[in-house]
Parts: sequence; C-alpha cells; structure tokens
Amino acid sequence: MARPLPSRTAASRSRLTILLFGAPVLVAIAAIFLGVSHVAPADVLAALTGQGSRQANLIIGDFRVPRVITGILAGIHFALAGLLLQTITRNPLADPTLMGVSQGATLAVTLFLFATVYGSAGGSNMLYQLPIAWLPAAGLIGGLVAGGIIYLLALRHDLGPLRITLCGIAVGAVLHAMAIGLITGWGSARIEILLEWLTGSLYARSWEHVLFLLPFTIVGLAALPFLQRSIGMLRFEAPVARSFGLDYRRHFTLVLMLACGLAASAVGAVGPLVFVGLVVPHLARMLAGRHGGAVIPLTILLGAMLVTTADLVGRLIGQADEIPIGVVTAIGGAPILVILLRRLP
Amino acid sequence: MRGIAARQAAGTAGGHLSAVALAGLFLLIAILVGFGGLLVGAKPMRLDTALNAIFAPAANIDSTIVWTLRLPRSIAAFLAGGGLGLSGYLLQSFSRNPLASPDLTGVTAGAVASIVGCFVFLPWLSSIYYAPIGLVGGLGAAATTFWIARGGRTSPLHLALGGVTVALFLGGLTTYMLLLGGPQSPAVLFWLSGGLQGRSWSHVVFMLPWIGASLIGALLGHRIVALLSLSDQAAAGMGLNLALWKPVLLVLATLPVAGITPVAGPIAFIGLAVPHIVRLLRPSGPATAIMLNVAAGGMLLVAADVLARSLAAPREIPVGIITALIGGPYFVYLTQRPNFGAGRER
Amino acid sequence: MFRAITTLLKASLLSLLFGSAVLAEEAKPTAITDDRGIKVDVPATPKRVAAISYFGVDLMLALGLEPIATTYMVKGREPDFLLGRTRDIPQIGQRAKPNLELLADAKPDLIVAMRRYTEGNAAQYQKIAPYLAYNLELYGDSDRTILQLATLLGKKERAEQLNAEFKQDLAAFAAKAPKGVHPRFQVMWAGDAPWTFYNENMTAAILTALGGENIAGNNPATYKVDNFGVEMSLETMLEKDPEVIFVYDYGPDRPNENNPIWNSLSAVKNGRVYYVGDQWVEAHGPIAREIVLREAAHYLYPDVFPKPDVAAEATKLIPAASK
Repeated sequence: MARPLPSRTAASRSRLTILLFGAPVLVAIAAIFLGVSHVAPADVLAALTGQGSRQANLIIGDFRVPRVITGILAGIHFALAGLLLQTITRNPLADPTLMGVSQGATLAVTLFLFATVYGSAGGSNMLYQLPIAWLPAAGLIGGLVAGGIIYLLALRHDLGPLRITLCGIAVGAVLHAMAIGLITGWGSARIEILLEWLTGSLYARSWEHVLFLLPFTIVGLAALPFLQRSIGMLRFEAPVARSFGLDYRRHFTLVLMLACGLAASAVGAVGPLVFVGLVVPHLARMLAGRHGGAVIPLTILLGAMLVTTADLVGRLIGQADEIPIGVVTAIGGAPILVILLRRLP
Repeated sequence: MRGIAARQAAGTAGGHLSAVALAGLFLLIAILVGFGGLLVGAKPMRLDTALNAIFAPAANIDSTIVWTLRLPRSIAAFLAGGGLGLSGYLLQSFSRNPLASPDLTGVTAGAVASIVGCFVFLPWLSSIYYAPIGLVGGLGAAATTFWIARGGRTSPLHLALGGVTVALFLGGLTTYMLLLGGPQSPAVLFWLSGGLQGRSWSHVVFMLPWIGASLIGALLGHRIVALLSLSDQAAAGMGLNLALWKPVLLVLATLPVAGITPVAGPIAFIGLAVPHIVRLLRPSGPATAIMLNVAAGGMLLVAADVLARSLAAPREIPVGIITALIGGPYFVYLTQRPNFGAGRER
Repeated sequence: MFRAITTLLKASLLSLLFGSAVLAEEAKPTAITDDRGIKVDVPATPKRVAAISYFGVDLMLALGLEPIATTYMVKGREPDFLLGRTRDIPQIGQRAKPNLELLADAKPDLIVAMRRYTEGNAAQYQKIAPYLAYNLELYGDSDRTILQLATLLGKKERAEQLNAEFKQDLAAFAAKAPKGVHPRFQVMWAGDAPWTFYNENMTAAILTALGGENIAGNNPATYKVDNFGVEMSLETMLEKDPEVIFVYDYGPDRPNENNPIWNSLSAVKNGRVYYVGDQWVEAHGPIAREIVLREAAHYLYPDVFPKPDVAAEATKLIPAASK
C-alpha cells in the first residue's frame, strides 16, 4: 500500500500542483533545446515559430520536435495502458510488454517485413519499395490480436489476476519465440531493421508517427472520463462488481480493448519500451497519495516525462551513436521497479 | 507428518522399481531419438552408413560427421536438457513454487548477461572462465529475484513476476551490449535464443562437471530437498538449518545453468515444464524425481534439437525456439488448470 | 566615345544574360533513378556529399574529392584502404543509423547510402538533402554505381577510366593465375554456422574470376532476390572442404575456432585462413575492389602473386590533390 503523503496546506498543495505540471513541461523544453547538434536557444525559438533559418527549422522542426512528441505520446500510451491493465487484472505487476502485446506486435512486424520482400518485380534485384509507412499499422494489428488471445483465455475461466498475467507472459514468450524463429530461419537482409526495431527506438521518428499515434491518444483520453466508474468497479472481484450492477464482461472488454489499443499503437510506432507501463502507475499512485482522482492525470504526465527524459539521456550520452530508448528504460526502470516490488505486501 | 516424510524419503520398493524403469525408458527414447538424429542433417545419412560409422569408424567423412558432430551434439543436448530439468526441479522444490525455473527466476538471463558482458568488454579473457562468471551472474540474478519476492514468502506468482522483471532487465542489457559489439547479427541471435550448432566433445566435457556436481549434490541431499518441499516450519522443526541449506540448494540449482549457458545459450522452458511433467508421473521421492527429471529433460531436448536441425534444413532453427513453441503452450495450459500447483500453493 | 560605351554596355549585358543562362542551366537539378527505382532530384554538380558507408568515401577519394561526412563500421577503426582519411572527416554514426542531427549539421547537398540499412528512414533523410540508396551487393552493382555517381559529380571520364582499369587488372590477374588449378574457397562471417556468401557477392565473384571455386556456389533460390548467403553448417563445410577460407573479421568472438571440425578442415591445417578487413565487406568502391583483387590473388596463389601493400595501392588510386 502506498504511504499517503502528510496532509498539506492549500499553499503547499498548489506548489505541488505547479511542480507536477511544470516538470513535464520543463523536461520537454530541455529535450527540444538540447541535443547532439548545438542549436543556439534563440534559433530554437525562431524555429519553433517557423521563422528560423533553414538549418534550425530542419533540425528542430523536422527531427527533434516530432521525435519528442512521438516519445510523449508513446509514453502516455504505455503508462495509461499499464494503469488500466493493473487495475482490471488487480495485479500491480501487469504491463503491456509483459503480457504479450509487444510480442504480438513484434511478430506482426516480422511477418510484414518478410512478406514485403517477396512482392518484387521478378527477376531483377530491385526489391519492392519497402512500404515502411505500414509498419506501425502492422504492429498495431499484431498487438491487438495478442491482446485478444489473452482476453479469450482470461474470460474463459474467469481467471484470477495473477494467473492472467502469467498467461500473458506465456503467450508473450511463445509469440516472441515465433518471431525470433522466423528471423533466424529466414535469414534475410532485413535482419538489421528488425533488430533495431526490437530494442525500442525513437530514431528517425517523424510527424507521420505523431499523426499515427494522435487519434489513439485522443480517443483514449476522451474515453477515460466515461470509463472512470467502470475502472473503479473493476478493481473489485467479479462477484462484488456485479453486485454493484456492473456488467462485468462488457466493461472488462472495453477497458482491455482500450489498454491493448493504446499499447499496440505505441509499440507499432516506437517498438517495445519495457517498464514504462509498469513503473509509472506506481509512481503516480505514490505521489497522489490520498487524492485518488489524481492518479490518472499523474500517470499521463509522468509517462510523458519519463520517456522524454530517457530519450534525452540516450541522445546526450550516446552522442553520434544514440542509445536506443528501450535500453535506457530497461536499465533505468528496473532498479526503480525492484524497489517498488519490495514495497508491495 | 513424520510418517509421510519418512515414506517419501525412503520410498516403497515397488515405487523405486517403476521409477527406475521409467527413467530407463526415457533414456532409451533419448538414445533412439538421438540415433534417428544421426541420420538427419545437412547431409542425410542412410541407416547402414550410420551403423557402420558408429561401430566401425573409418577415416571417411561419414564417420567424422557422426563422431565429431552429430553424436556429441546429441549427447550435449541430453546433458543440457537433463541439467536444466534438474535445475528447475531443485528451484521448484526449495521455493515450493511451481513456477520457479531458471528462466523465470532470472538465473538464465543473469548467466547470459555476465558472459556476453565478458566477451564484449573483456575479449582477452579465455572462454574457460565463462562458466564461473555465468555462475556468479546467475546467482546474483536469482538472489535479486528472491530478495524481491522476500524469499518466496509472497505468492508464488509474485516470484515469477519478479523473476521475469529481472530477466527482462538483463535481456535489455544483453541486447545493448551485443549491439555495441558491432555488426555481428548471427551472434546476437544465438545469445538471444540459444542453440547447439557445432557442439562437440569439448563442449560435452565442459558441461559434465557442472551438471555432475549438481546431480551428485542433489542426490546426496535428497532428504533435505524432501524436507524443504514440505514447508519451512516442518524443515526447521526437523532440525534443518534453513539459513545454510537454502542458499546451498540455490547454488546447486544454478550450477547446471552455469555450465550449460556458455555452451548452449539460453534455452527456455525446459526447466519449467519438465518438473511438472515428471510430477504427473508421481515419483515416490526426491531421489527418483531427480533421476526422472534428468532423463526426461535430456530426452526432450534431444528431440527438440533433432527437430531444430531438420525442420528448415540446411538452415538451423535455434533450439530455444522449438522448446518455447512446445513448452509455451503447455505453460499456458498449466495456468488455466484449476488445481494449478495443487498441494503446494500457499 | 558614347557609342563605345553603349557597345560595351550591350556586350556586357548580352554576356551577362548569356552567362546567367548558362549558370541557370548548371543550377537546374537533374533526376537520377537510384536502386530503389525512385527518381530523385539532385543538384547538377553536388559539392557536399555525405557518405553513409565506406563506399561513398572510397569513390570520392578515388575521384579526387572528399565527402563532408562519413560513418564508421567500428568506432575508432580508421581503415587502411582509405589511408586513414576518415579520421579527418566528421563522423556521424554507424552506416545503418547515421545521426540525423549531425547529418543535418554537415549541410550536405547529396546523401549516398546503402539501401538495405537505411531505406526505411528515407523520408527523414530526404528532408536534409537528396538521398540516393544503392544495393551494393552484386558484382554488377560496382561499375554501374560508380559510373552513375561519378557522372553526377562531373567526373565521368575518371569513372570510366577506373572501371576500364579494373576490368583490365582483373583480366590480367586471371590470365596470370595458374591454369587448371581451382582452389576451393569460402567467404564468410565468423560464427557457429558461418554465414557464407554465394557467387553473386562481389568478393566471391572476384575470387571466382581468378579461378577459384566457391564451395557455396550460386544462389540456389533466384526467386529470393536478396538471398546472398547461407548459414552453412559445419557438416557441409567438412564435406566441401575449402582450401582457403576468408573470414570477415569483426570482433573478438570467433566461435568457429572452438569447434573440433574447424581443425580438421584442410584450410586450417595448412594455415590458409585469412581474416580480412573492411575493404572486403564494402568491396564495391574503386579502391577497395582493386585491393581485394590483389589480396585475393595473393591468398589464392601465394607463390604467384605477392602480398599487396594496402596503403601503397590506395595511394596509387587517389589523385594527389583531393579537396
């Protein structure tokens, strides 16, 4: 159980609110102003308003800003998906990357890349133009299918929370094995693209990726107020929830679909980012303390902040050879998670 | 309680015999499958050629292939499978957790990460040291997992989740270190999914002491295993020094992984599924369970390896894929059963 | 006087108009079809070329030019066949993932990259500068790509000269090679089931032209257009028994050496395993292919051909003044 923060005066509460809203904004600003290439702050500002030199517009407007925004959206997706999954499975250790959604997306992406190799103009060695624009969509479909499998398994036997998670782990492991099997068994030149994608990365993410994610983010955020009551009710066991008049199956399905949709679209856009969905809800709950209503907004803000920070760290430390963000979240997230796990009852 | 323990520890005469027969059966199947495996491969071999090569080895290619490649490879597969099965059994017994296994407690991931770290950052270090380093890595990861799950006093599924967390973290670390090492994709995939390509007598000799030590230790201490699989209180009540024996058993369980990982990489699911399968056969006591686990694990991996070699010939599928494809659905099925881990869950 | 001035003015005006017309002609971009089959608008004479992979560096140095940015295979390793010139050129990351910001900082007006690693991110590269992607896998890709890029850079004759010289050299070496001797060879990445290249691969093609016999043969599945190699099991290696083995050397991990089969191969027993450098991995450039040719000849027939001095050969191909 999270230790509640001590009672606060109105002044300190508003200070806290300012801090909590300010921090993500500060981090985002830092991520835009800082980078491998040294762009003077004045030029950055000019570029943001569209007035800058061609060079600044290019670096800031075409590379950094869409990358940061993609990261923010992906972070929100993963964090929210984690929160929703943890709530409906009543398991504090649920996470979309643990429960097979990422692995389903990985398998779908692998199948997609291999399939497109063979649509070539037969005879020549001119390969079919890689329809890379479809990659996020392929990942999305894969993630949704994996989520569907877990849903079927979960509802068939009214499984307990931890068992659903374990089911997810097993399904994830099988899908992952199939993906790696395909990669090694086929041995095509596309291996490099796949391996790069497998670690989760924001490299070369553009406004297309932002546009891909945005509809999901908007729908997801818009749906939250409507599902607030369901989410609260789903925290209880099925019989209890039903006694409150909740159509358990329908609401479980809706929330699960939302979580999978958010997670799968994010995985399709940036690859699997481990631990974001796992750690952020816990941090949010810790900070919210007794203000239960603050958990969801905090999750959103912290998710955005965490991914942006991790990406900035990866870019600055790696310099020319940036560290993939999936690696940073794994290395940074695990110690936090270990501490959190110990605090659980 | 004492009577049950005594019966379990001693075993009835009839129970002993049938267990031994079962173990023998597994061994026989392993040999047959392994032999069938001799005929399969990039260069398909006829039965008489294979028999000739085994019993009358000459200096021709067929003999070399049999004696230097396929035969030791199958033996290595048997050893690795047996070792993993043993490791899984020991972990599940002493933590009384049906989901404990080298993959789900992070032991395998710990061994892989430390070995990969060695050859990326310390390339001058001879590969002889990989096993002890793997041992340290595996133990460290397992210790972290057990620390997270408070020594297994929480729900068994918490242990699995803690272990998966540790394994995922170490997996991310491993992938990054491999990417740092340069454009060597085939090596990356080996360390991510395991394999037995090109394994020969030197590798068999390499693994033998580690697995042998664990096996002997487990057999010698089978009474302790029996006590610990009841409950901590029962064991302490019988005068067992828990603070000593639990870590000892953890080390015994990690020894096979330390020996197997440098040779075969991370092979998933054997350590998890085999003890469950063996439990279905109702062995009469830990000693027989140990033998059955080794035999069954060995047989499974030999079969999986033959499949890995022949399904996409001449390409080789990493054997970890086959075991995951077989073990994974079984694992899913296990989690669905109502009496999952019956009699052991707290 | 007045008429002289007006005549002068008319003349200068005319020449100005004519001159600007010529200049406008030069400034008009041309369209090139790269290996993706896409028509890309490139400036008529690019001055600032970013070379994503060593091929670009190789080509430009041989043309007497220098790229404004390069990538590396292994950080800190400046290849000999480029005379260590990469040390002085801004380095922007690996050939599969060049850093976008650093690339933009370099302000290129043309980007030349390897298709299979970078085409997925073409849209982003295109925002910086026109982006040309090349396959660089088959033997035929070498001449074609060199000629296309050199023509764009205004050095068509030099490219034709380089291509002709290589053809001559190849024929000369092949003629000098002992007849009737076909050493079996293998070109591979290190590994437990080593990735072995078919004949279509550039270095394998050179070795075959010199009379060698590739144990892997031709691409057996021609419908798989990007099938350039195979993970050859050790059993097959044992059977085919290559006499000479070329290994792309990338790291401390040489797992094949731990294998007992390895030591029973005749190539190993006779000490004819050669760990070769970057010029073999990116063999399509004008400098790399000449060096590979000489090294291949030497390693196949050590009694007939001397070991080439990589730096000396490279110097022969790089015109004295290059900037």
